[in-house]
Amino acid sequence: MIMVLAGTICVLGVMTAGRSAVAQDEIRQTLDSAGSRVLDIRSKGVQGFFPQAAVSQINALNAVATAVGLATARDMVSGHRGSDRGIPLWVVYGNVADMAELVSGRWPRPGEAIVADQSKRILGIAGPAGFLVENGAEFPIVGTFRAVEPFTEFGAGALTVADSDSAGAVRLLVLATDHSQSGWVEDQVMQIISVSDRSQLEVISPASLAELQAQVNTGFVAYARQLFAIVLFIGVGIIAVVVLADILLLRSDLGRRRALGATRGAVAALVVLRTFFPAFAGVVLGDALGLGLGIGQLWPSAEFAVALAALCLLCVIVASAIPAFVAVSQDPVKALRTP
Amino acid sequence: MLTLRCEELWFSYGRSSGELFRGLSHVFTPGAVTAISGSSGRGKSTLLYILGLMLTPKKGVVAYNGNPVSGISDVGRALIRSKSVGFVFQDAVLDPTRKVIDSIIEPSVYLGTPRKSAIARGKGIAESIGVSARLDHRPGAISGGEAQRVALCRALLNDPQVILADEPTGNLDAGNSEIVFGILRKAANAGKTVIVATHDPYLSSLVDETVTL
Repeated sequence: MIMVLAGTICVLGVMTAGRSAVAQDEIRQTLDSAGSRVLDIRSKGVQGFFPQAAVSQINALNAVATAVGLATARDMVSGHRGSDRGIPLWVVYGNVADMAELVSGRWPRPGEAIVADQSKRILGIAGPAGFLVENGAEFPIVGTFRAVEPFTEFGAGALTVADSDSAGAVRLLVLATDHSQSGWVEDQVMQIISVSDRSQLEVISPASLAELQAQVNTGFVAYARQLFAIVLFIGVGIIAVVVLADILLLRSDLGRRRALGATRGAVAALVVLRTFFPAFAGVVLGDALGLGLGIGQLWPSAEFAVALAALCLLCVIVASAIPAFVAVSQDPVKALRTP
Repeated sequence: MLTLRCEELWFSYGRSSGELFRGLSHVFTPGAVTAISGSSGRGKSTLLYILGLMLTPKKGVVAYNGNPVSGISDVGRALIRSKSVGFVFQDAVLDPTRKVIDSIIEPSVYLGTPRKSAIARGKGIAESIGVSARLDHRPGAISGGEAQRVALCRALLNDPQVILADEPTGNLDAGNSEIVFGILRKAANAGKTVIVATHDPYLSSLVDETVTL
């Protein structure tokens, strides 16, 4: 009976608190991924809205992993082949190395470009060679790159860096260090770029995602934990009643033990151990069953399973403490003389 | 040999019940079988359990070898019970879930005797008392007389100096009663203090001393 009860508590624990913990963790990981920490601000038609100085100032904020400004993309073609198939070239304000991994060649200086590794075929080049042209402007290709998260949308074009005379960016991408900082970062960025009329801007903010996580935390995860707490409380109560009933049935047995030399402590330990061992077996089976039922779905970690088992066993020990106290408190003579 | 005495014992079960003893004193002779007799409800078993340190008297003392022990700690009393006292109950009170040999060696668990030596000693006592063929049986598979003899084996396991028997022949036929009393007599002859609570006139006629309540 104790084994079944302890096992049931464990199964329900895995299926409620365990799965919600996994779900919470997955949501947290999703929110913590770079793509979910990006503040994307675009100016509506105003060129040079975000100056180089503003980008540098934003980069200096503690909660900012990186910030880059981008000018409007220019459509470039290969200078060698004179191909009509073009690729976009973005002028980057900020550190271009935050947006990409260099595959070959070197990082560009102003007036030079690196092209996406996957764009080489379009341009008809095998490596960092040649140049990009557009309306007479030429950009020597000095390297190839692979875009990194969350800048993969630039992974099929070319990048160059702005020089000090550049007019300024039309788009600002700010990567917060943590999604929970998104709201604060957004406020700071808005202050730095001194926007009086937000209608001039299109803002895609991750702050709402942070709010979503808070809702998830206070919502269904909390509900699942409360549900498990109720299951645990009821389970422990039933275990206590079952052990107490067992004690009452064993009155004569316990009285005999006392008469033969068992101390009160030995009797208490006996009651607790009589409960602990079947509970241990139940908890192990319950853990295994709970995890087995979750195969292909949300699967709590081994650490969670062990912690849950330990919590259940602790509760079982607490549950058996009251009957143990009853066992040592009862008059052994009366117990012995109970038919 | 151990001298067991009680002095000026007063005892009652709660305030509403009357006093069972009012200043009861007695020195139990080692090597003798002493009967505690009296009609039902006079406190025969109660006195036995007070002497066995299972109950604490309201007033007065129980002394083992001159040392007052009735008021000492639970651990101290438990140690005396496991070391110096062997209990025999009216119905054998064996553990129904375990084998007879396990019931016999149960007191060794509380004294901390190694299981192997306890089993060896238990088997020896069972041999001398005539229940060695039943050691691997469960209590449910042996007769009442055998169960009581097993209970005597258990009482003798730790070689106690005091044997307290509560109506040990109460549930037995005449033949088995004689066997059981014979074992108790043998223990007394070996120098142990044997005290038997009984209202059996036949048993009372066989003892050396009687305390009437």
